[in-house]
Amino acid sequence: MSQLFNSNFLQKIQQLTLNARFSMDGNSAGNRKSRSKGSSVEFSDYREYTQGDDFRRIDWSAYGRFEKLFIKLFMEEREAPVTIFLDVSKSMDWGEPNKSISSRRLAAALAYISLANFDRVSIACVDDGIQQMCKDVRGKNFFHKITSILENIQYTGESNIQKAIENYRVQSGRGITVIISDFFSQGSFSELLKLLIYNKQAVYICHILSPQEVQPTINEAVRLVDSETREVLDITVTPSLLNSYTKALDNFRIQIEQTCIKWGVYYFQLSSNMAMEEMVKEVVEH
Amino acid sequence: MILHSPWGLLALLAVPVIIILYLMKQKHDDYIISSLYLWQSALQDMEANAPWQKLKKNILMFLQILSIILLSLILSEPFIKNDKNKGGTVMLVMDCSLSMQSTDMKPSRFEAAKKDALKLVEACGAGTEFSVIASGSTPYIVLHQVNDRNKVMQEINSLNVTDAAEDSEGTAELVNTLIRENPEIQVNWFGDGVSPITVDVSDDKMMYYSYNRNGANYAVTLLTQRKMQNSRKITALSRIANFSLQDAELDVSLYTDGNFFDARRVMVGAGKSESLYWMEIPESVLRLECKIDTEDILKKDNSAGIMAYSDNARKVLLTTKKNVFLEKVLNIMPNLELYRTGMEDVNEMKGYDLYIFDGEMPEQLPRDGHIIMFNPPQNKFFSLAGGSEYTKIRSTKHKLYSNLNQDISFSALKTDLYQLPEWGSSIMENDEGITAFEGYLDKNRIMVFGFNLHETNLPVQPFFPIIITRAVQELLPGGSNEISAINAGDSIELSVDPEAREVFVVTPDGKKTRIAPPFPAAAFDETTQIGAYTLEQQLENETVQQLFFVNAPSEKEFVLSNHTPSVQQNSETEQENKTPRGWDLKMLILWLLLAILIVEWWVYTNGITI
Repeated sequence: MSQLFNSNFLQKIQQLTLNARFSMDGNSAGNRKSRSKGSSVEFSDYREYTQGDDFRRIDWSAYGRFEKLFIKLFMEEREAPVTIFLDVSKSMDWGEPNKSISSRRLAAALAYISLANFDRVSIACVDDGIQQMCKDVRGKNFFHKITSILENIQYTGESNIQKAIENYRVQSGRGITVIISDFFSQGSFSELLKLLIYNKQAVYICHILSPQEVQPTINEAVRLVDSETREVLDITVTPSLLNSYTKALDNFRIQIEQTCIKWGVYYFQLSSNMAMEEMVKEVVEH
Repeated sequence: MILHSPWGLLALLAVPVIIILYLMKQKHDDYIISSLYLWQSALQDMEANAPWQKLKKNILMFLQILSIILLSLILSEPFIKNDKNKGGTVMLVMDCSLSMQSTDMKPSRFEAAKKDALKLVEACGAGTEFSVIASGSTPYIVLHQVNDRNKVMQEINSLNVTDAAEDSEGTAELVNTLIRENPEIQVNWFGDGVSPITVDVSDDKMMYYSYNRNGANYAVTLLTQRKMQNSRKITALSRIANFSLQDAELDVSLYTDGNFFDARRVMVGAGKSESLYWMEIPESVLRLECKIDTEDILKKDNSAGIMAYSDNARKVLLTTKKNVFLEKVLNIMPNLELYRTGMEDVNEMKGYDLYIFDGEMPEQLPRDGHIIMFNPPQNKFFSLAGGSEYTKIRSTKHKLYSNLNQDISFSALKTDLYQLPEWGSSIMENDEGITAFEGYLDKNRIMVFGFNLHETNLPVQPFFPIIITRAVQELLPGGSNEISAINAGDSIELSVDPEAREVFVVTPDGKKTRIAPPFPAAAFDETTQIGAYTLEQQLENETVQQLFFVNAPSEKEFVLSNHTPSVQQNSETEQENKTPRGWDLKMLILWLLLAILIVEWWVYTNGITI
């Protein structure tokens, strides 16, 4: 058992359930409510009988009251294909607590919860391409496949999530896509969402930043070096510059959030100093 | 090199600050962060909102700094001093005449001249002595060989321009006198180049600064009137002059007693004048004013005024045996009531404005009027100096002959010669002595001609009626037509009533000057303002007021044809480049600045960097 995913961690995540409100067309039965009306025991709605419907579903009590044929509709439960994209660019390996640890724990927790709910989980580590991935894991017994990938990630490249996800070729059909990143990324975020929505994905954006990124602790003249590009910028930190930084950060978050709202996507602002269960709760109990 | 406005160099203080900012380089420690994205956005935001940004080294900055330096130099008005300015004596002649009020140079020719004169004083080296001459109707020395530069500048600053014409000849005479005292003197004449100047100085010691851009000036140069005997109406004649270099269509109005009477539009050629007649003016009108309504560079000479004849006829007593010539002339004069008598018929000499004695005179002279005598017998009032026969009599420079540009001389069979009394001035003379004179004997003005008109050919001369008319008008108390319109700067002898106790002149600005007593009244020479003056005579029981106009001496101040002063004169272009006693660098630097701006534009459009 590694330090990253110890037994304490596993105990915490076992009770959490990832709840996704979206339709799915998969064939395997699962533990997720589908908007498709099927043959489960959970009643959903009535509909007037039309030719070709299964006449066994006719509600005769309703016929007695209204003298019209109605059939009962029930929720059908299906398995959800859950794809988790984890940003493994160099910028994610920064901060105290380090964003790489928090993000991996969050990814692992979400994957475990999905597996526990009989969903099919894929995980992809992306920077400007796909570094590693593990596709279509079913059942909690195979959770170690995911953890072993997460434990051996190398944070080296530059971030271009759009390009990477385009390369991944998300499976067409309804499913859940989770992206965990700081979104200091090249490429169009809006185009990325457009692509995922086109592929009928329920998208969860987990925007994770370190406390030092939210509130910089620099208070002198420094040469800032970009961890990914090695680009430099000479600055002298002044209160007005810090104000401008806060403003720029707010704009950055607002821009992402507004794009998410526009495309009907869930957006979560997370910090690397949040406890894992706090982050999971934030995502699951949205 | 001298800077007229050294404060302009303060702008240079900005240059080292800019350079220091460029030279400063702060040492930074490396600090690795996840991404520069937010910091770059923050800096962009600051740059967009803040008025300041960090200066960057580029060629544009250097060109801009250079532009600032040149601009500050232009503001400082630099010029290179002429070596000739070291020490010596410098004379500044300031034209203070009417034409210097023209506004074709801003704010006026006079102010521009003063500014340059001050620059010249500032530019001269220590130890220079200055003489300042104000050249107006009466030129005078303001300062003579003064070393105190501040005092000189103060005096130049306090010089006032007048409405009078410049007596350039008088000024030149004064300048020549000072040159004779000090031949090394450097003469600097600040004028508008209208009057010809002759000074006894070499070209290198005479500098003429011309303040004349030949702006359009129009003037009423003459306004006169006459009451027509037949119609009992007044006819006025005005002459409108165009002193500009282009033909002009001018709107001219006539005002009677301050009220609008008529308006005309007249086309006046460049450098020409046109006469305008104004007819059917009611005889009751006392005051006529003619105004040009078209805008020009000098407003003061756009109007002229004149007093119409008074309705009060003057009583003249002619005591003669028979003098048809005098009678004829006196009869054609308007507003004269002529009484003819012989000496034996005179009981009491009283009640006339003018007495004319021909060939005889009373023992006691009348006291209530002035007197003209022809061929008077020997008497106690003035002495004979002898006589001449078959002689030629000629005029003197008496003002009786002013503006008569012909030879005034005539022959006489016989004439008396006089010793000129202290109170008299000569009117006519021959080779042997004075044949006619005039002057004040106590309060009476007396004009004496030592010949019998019948024994001369004067009556057949064309100027005879003019001389007699002028003599009568001179002597009629307060009735002289001459004073009804004179030019600013002229000195006038006002004909005062012999019964006057006190005589005053009120100027257009309300200043009251007493000209008598003592009698005879002093010549009034404070006619430096254009406008209506009042002659106020306090008689025993009443106060008599009489208006007279002082008009602009435009014909003396402006010329009706192209004219070049007879001394060295800088052309307009030279004037702009060459300030007094040195070379102005302003234009040169201005061109340089323009060149740098062009280079800057070229660098900017071609994206050249260093």
